Amino acid sequence: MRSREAKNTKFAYKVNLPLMVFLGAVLVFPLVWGICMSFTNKMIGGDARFTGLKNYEKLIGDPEYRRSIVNTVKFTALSIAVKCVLGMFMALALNQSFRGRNAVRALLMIPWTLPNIVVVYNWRWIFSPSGGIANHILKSLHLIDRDLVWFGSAGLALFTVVVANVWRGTPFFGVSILAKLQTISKDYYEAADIDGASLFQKFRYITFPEVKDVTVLSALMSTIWTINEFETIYLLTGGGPNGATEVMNVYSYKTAMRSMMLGRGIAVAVLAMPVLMLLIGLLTRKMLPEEK
Amino acid sequence: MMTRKRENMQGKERKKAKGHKRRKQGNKIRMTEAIGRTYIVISLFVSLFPVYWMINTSFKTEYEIYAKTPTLYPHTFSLEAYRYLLKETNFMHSMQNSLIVAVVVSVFSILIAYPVAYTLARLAFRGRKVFSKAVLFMYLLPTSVLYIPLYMLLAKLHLTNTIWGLAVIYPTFTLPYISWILIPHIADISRELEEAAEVDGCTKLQTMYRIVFPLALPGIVSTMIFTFAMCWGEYLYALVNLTSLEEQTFPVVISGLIFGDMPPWNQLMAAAVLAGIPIIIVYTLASGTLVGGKTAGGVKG
Repeated sequence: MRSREAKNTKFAYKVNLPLMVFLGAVLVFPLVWGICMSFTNKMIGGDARFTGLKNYEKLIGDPEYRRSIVNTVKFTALSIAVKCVLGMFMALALNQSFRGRNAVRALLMIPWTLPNIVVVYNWRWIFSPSGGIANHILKSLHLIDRDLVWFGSAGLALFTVVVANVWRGTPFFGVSILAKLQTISKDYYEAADIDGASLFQKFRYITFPEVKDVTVLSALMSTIWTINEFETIYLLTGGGPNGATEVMNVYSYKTAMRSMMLGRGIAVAVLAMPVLMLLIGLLTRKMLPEEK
Repeated sequence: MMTRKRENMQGKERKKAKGHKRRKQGNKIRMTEAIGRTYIVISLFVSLFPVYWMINTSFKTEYEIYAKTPTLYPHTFSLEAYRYLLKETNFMHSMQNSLIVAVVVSVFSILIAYPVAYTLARLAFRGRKVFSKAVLFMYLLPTSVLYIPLYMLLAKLHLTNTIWGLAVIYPTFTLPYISWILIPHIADISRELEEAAEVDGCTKLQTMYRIVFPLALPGIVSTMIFTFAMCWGEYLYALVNLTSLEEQTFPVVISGLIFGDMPPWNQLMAAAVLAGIPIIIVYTLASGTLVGGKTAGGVKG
């Protein structure tokens, strides 16, 4: 038995070597190098000189940076909450049996399959101040009487980026939760019906405990992606108006690529690391159940 | 809680309760169904209307897109936006660039990552736990943490501003993704065939490629489609690393089409249609045919 494990080990390392070498060179090495660079004044095209914690001090002292963190938290919290609720509804509705269910499921997945850039421009056009359909629809429903300037006020601009993110992200929650829902035995619901349980009670005592784990898992994963969202905001509002929707990564991009301060740009990512590590740690524990 | 109640309610009592509650229950079920259907209809509208609007806009003239009242269908059907996009801009070339990068990276990644998924799904070996943790960690690590270090790496290698630079760095997200996502697909395959093959004298390497690979093919193909889609639409790395028009992939070229207060939305939407619809079609076809499949019937009774 032991020799078998030794043989397995040898085989596993042999076939896994290409991946380890490649990711060691292209992922681990640059990451470590980058973290070191965050302690220097590295500029695009310039040499790096050690400056200690100066990048970090500058960042924490910069009100624009602090605002970008607040914006990231707002954007992420709102998006995740809405995606969770809508994804849950989507899963519950798709869990009922009806004709054409598979087709409907495939159609509802479309937003998730589209390239993000396509999605973002689509919404930018829908919310466009001239020719945009959003204002037209709201006006025909008599919900507003004057055109809204969607990208012109802080609240509305945040609304548009959340809409674009939620529109594309909800199907992920929907199908993840649906997969779990389909494993719940119908017997539970029949028994609950006999007992005269209400719709809400059935959800609260049967459905929810079953799907809680997968919902938390999806929410954690989606949180990592949403905290690090860049193009949705960069291409929809550009962080505006006046930085009202400028999230962490838009700030980092502007610092690193426009102001050319690479070291400080990485420092933004390094400062976010503790939160990311916490989320990744939680996820790892959930996704890798203790073995043997 | 409900299960305990259910156990208490047996036989006669249960039948009686069923009779009493039946009518009320029927109403309730119909109500639930009605709510579910309504929600489905609303979500279908919300999910599909923007896609329809994109297609609709792409066939309009520049004059019509800025009409006072937006039109629900193109009153003057026009291919002008497509003609301009294909003839006067770099869009077609950029789609070709995206295609090359996405195909090269997907194929390369599956070749390198398949053995990893196989060993993690099947073999007990020393360091397996650490290794699977590392793969998961890299899978979850967001691109935004890496984009500056990777830019510095490509600058050092003199690979900025070529699509081959992207081909070097895209595997940083595709490799961990494939290694992780394929594990359950491989774990679901029955071990019996492998054991039989080993009895017949197959080496581990042969079993891995000749026996398990074909059986895992449905999972591999759908994983590859997702990998392809990830590379196809990637924006941040491409934006940071590609500056010359010749080398840019389509997301960067599309974002360059926006200028001024009145952007040519019909062209932008035409670009969105050309870049988005193929992905939708491939995905939809794949999700229909690839579910279930080959593993059934591999091992008799």
